[in-house]
Amino acid sequence: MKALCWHGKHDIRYETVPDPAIEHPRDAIVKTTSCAICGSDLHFYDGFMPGMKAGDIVGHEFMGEVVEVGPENHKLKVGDRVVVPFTICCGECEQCRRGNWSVCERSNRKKNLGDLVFGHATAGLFGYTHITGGYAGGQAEYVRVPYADVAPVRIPEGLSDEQVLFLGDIFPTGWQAAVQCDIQPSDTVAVWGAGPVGQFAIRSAVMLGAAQVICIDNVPERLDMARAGGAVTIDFDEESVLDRLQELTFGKGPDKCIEAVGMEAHALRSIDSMVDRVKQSMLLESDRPHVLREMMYVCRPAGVLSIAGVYGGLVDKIPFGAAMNKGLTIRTGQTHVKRWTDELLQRISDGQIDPSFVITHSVPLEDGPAMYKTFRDKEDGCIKVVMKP
Amino acid sequence: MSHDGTKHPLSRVLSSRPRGPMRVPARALGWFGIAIGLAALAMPKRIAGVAGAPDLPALTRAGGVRAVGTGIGLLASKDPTPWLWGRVIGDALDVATVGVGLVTRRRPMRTLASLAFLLGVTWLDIKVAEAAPSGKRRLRRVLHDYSNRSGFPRPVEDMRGIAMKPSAGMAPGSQDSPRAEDSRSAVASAVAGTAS
Repeated sequence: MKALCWHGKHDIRYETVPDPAIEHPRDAIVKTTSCAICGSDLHFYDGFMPGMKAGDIVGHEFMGEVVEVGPENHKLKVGDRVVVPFTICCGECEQCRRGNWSVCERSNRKKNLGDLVFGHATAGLFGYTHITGGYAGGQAEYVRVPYADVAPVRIPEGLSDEQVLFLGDIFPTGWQAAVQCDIQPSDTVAVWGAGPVGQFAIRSAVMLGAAQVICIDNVPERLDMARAGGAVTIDFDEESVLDRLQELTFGKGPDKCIEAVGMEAHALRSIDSMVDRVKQSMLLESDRPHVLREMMYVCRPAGVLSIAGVYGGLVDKIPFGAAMNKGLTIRTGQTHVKRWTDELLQRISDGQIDPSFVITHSVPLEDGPAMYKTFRDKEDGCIKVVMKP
Repeated sequence: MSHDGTKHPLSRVLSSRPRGPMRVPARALGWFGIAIGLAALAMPKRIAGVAGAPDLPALTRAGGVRAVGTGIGLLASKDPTPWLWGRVIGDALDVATVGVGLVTRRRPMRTLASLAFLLGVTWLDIKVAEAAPSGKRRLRRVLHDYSNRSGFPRPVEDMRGIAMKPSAGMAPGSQDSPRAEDSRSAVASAVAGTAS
């Protein structure tokens, strides 16, 4: 089959790889009909995510048709149309039973590596470093889905791939980021980053009743889309984020702050990020946490910081004194996708939201390597790339 | 964090006239140039000695005037891009001047260290200048119009709080749902460490 494979920094190739096969009785094989490039895919594309090996099949946002099921999989049958959440979960361990699906204790088949890096291993993820299991990803014609009787979401007739594909990651991720804020009707919610997750976080905050949503970014098209979703926007290239947040919150600061940027904040847009970039080049720091610093500083006392952006390792100069003294609540984590999929699928079915609004580019899978660059560089108004094998 | 207006206290310190993608590093480079330039004006012989450059006070002072000038330009101009490239040209002159010190000075290692520092500053100036398209160039960029991409079936104000209403049905045939509080209760359960 054909797949997109990682071969190094800025080196994604469309190449022929062996077809996947059932390895466990609960597995399923899915023939991919649509997949997408996620912002977190850019972390290994840019060489900041450790634990990748040359030839790894990448991608964790995908959906398709079930073409084979293992003998112990009693949930799926051949022909089912499914969206596959990016977090792999067994459904039986203590964390899964608590609903903490993204920290499943059994699905990371390279647990020792996960334990070494994070203290305790997290769930296995598709197409995303060997720290999270080293599973083959979804930017491929076929995918082996482990524990396929737990998380995959069967899609009813009448909904297009474009409407439901993002149930596997970015819609639940934006939703969880907003839900974790415990939004109250009088709240101002500030969202850093107007990429795909930020866009869903904005709409989720609106749907959950925030009085005002503010979005901070510097890409005109992304800010345009954020305004369409109900956000007041701040272009950090053109105005002071601190001053505008003060103006918009009558000097109190946002009640809730959502981080949808992650470890690669712009390296040259702020002094602290420039220092972070130098440290990264000397292996003294792994991530650039400018947004975390800014959020901790501007958030209203007793507020909530909800961190959806992906961080990989060590960050420096975090103003934790501000966080502690202001009594901020910090909530974060990879998305517990299965916690949200049933509800969000129903909301899509009900017509409350059509997630396809975020798609700006739809291309064949073979164009994937070029689209990684287009997406990374935010060229041609690119916000979300969907690929068709 | 308290204040008497809408201006944040920290922004008074960081406030910046330059606009555009590189306004923060441009401002930092402006202050850096002014500091170095003033030092060169006040102590030309000492600065030349520390840098391993030729002992020519007039030349050192001229470099100081140039650094202060571009620094003020960076801080005062709305569009920092021309001033950033002005710094790059000045860096080239500085590298050439200090390079002469390899011949005229007795301690070439000091001159080499100074050249390494200057080349690092030059690299940074070029990177910032390249990343700072001028205002005209930014305006020329073709923008895609996503102003109709709300993702909502109705105006945003109609959708505000839709997920918290007890009846979520919108499409014909949809059912009243008990899910209105599902999300919050799920988080509350997870925070409490109970099954969801």
